[in-house]
Amino acid sequence: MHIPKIFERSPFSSSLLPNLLSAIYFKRVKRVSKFQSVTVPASSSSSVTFDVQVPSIPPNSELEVIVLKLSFWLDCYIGIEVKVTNNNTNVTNTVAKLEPHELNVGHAGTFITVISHFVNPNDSITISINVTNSDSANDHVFIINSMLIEVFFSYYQGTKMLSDVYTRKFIVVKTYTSYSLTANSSGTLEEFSISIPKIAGGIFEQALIHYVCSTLSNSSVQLEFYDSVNAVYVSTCTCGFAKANSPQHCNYCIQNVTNFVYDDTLSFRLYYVNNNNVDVNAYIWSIVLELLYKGV
Amino acid sequence: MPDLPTLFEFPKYVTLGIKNALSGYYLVFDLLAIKSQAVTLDKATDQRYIFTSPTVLHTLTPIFLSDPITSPTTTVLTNEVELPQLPEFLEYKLILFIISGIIDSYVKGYFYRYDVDTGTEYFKAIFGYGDKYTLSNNVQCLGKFVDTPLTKYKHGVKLVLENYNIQESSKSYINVYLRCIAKIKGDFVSLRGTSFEDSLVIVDFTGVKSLAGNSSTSHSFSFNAFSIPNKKPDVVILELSYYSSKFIDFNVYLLNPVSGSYELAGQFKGNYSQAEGRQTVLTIDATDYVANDGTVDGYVEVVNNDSTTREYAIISLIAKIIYTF
Repeated sequence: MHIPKIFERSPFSSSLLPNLLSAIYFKRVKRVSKFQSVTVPASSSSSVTFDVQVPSIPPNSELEVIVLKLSFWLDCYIGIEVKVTNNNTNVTNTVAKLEPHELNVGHAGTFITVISHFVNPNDSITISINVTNSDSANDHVFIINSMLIEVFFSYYQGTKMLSDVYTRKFIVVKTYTSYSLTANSSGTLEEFSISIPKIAGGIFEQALIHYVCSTLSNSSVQLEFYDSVNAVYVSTCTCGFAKANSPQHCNYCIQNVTNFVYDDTLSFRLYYVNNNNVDVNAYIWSIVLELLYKGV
Repeated sequence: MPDLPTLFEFPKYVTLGIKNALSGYYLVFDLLAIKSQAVTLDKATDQRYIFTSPTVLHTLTPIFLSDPITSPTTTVLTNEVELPQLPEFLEYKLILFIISGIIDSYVKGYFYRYDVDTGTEYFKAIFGYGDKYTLSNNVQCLGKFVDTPLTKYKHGVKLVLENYNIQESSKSYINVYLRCIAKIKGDFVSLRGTSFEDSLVIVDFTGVKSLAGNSSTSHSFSFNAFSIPNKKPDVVILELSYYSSKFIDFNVYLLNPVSGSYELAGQFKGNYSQAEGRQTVLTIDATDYVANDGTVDGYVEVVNNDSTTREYAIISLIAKIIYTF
């Protein structure tokens, strides 16, 4: 074991240790799945299931957020629905969904979805991915490149931050939600107003939004932030395009929204456009606000 | 687990040096590089429009260009970012750029770093294929921005978007920011109740490569996953950020140290005429491929399933090495 040089002189008081710790971004990671390929026969479904224990967090620490991180590639006509069951409470929730579609062409990426609204550290959970092939003629493939559970935690301990160090805080704005978008229409799905919490000794520096959702062809759900100076909503992150022949879409948008914080408040909305002649669904996987503070 | 000191045992030592107690740990913070916005490009014409700042539109002298495919309407977004001077006990470890957003059909994008003193540009990433098949593509790129230790704190960033659509304007949403990873100076110290994540750039931007029809190529890599000497990490993740035209497959093979053979550990299949997602980040679990001495060997195989020459680029391959104490 490497013993720290604890008797070396330092300009810092020992009581400030928890503050410096608060500057550091701690997380615990649980591996759920490595690479696997699932071939789904024509017009059928298949499912893959994983039983895992969520990592615990240390005493004296505070849970920030727990996310499921899924990296995949999927074929056209393939749809997925990810459900998580908390075996300690028997609560099951859908946490991610992408509908099958012929224009769902070779979609890939790494996406996150929040599960800490019903899963706690150390819980035993079951993750099931139901994979659907809507093609009546051909088999299609769903590939998991990896799946992880990430548990973020911090040590605030109610003390002041140390000068010049950084800390971060996560606010879960939205967990998985399904919306029905009315045919040939557009409008606001939901509005949010988030107050930036204060941390003793720290000043708010930056706000990042993590926005993950999936939409169908010819529809979009945009995340729009309120510009108080010009009194308008500004369209920033978007999921999908409301254009004919645009593929079904799944997007993970990371956006710096610091410029939209006024009076320690961030206001934004989900705005949809559906240019289809029928109602379609949109699935918000999660919206997480990541706040960065600097010690002064 | 060895009997590690816990976080709250330390304050009992009156003269504890905090920087020693946390030696080797990393801080992560982000800087805005390009102001996020919806970028609307006019349809390709004989005029060239340039944004010299995110909000100011300048029209340059019209340039006659006969072939609209090679004369796209171009938007250039530039910005200068100044990396903060760090306190004495910190040093920069790695600075990554992260591009996210959605790019419209017919649009192609390029990302550069430039030297603010000399104007020299360094090509860092490419995304969007500029044809009708790149409908609403995800853009998720991750790559190394500058080398560390830093010699300059001020850097230029430049985003170029080209619209090849001669019939209509386009709209793309692009966000660029820098993720700065700084290290607390000193040797690493394990503390119970903490975690440690190292980031290594295994492959930096390869540039745009041409691959002949019905052929394949590969990029080998090797790294040592023991960020803490002689200590096996709990999790090792590879993040592959790539760009490719349609019909290109990416297969990541890793050497299984037990069997001695390479195994498929990550895959993107691009063998579709309308394949999208041609620039994104694949996350691959490499934990089981760490040899006893910490070595991870592998290669990225790139396969062109088309009969004509196609393009690809590996923007970055980054290892995340995670310890839990």
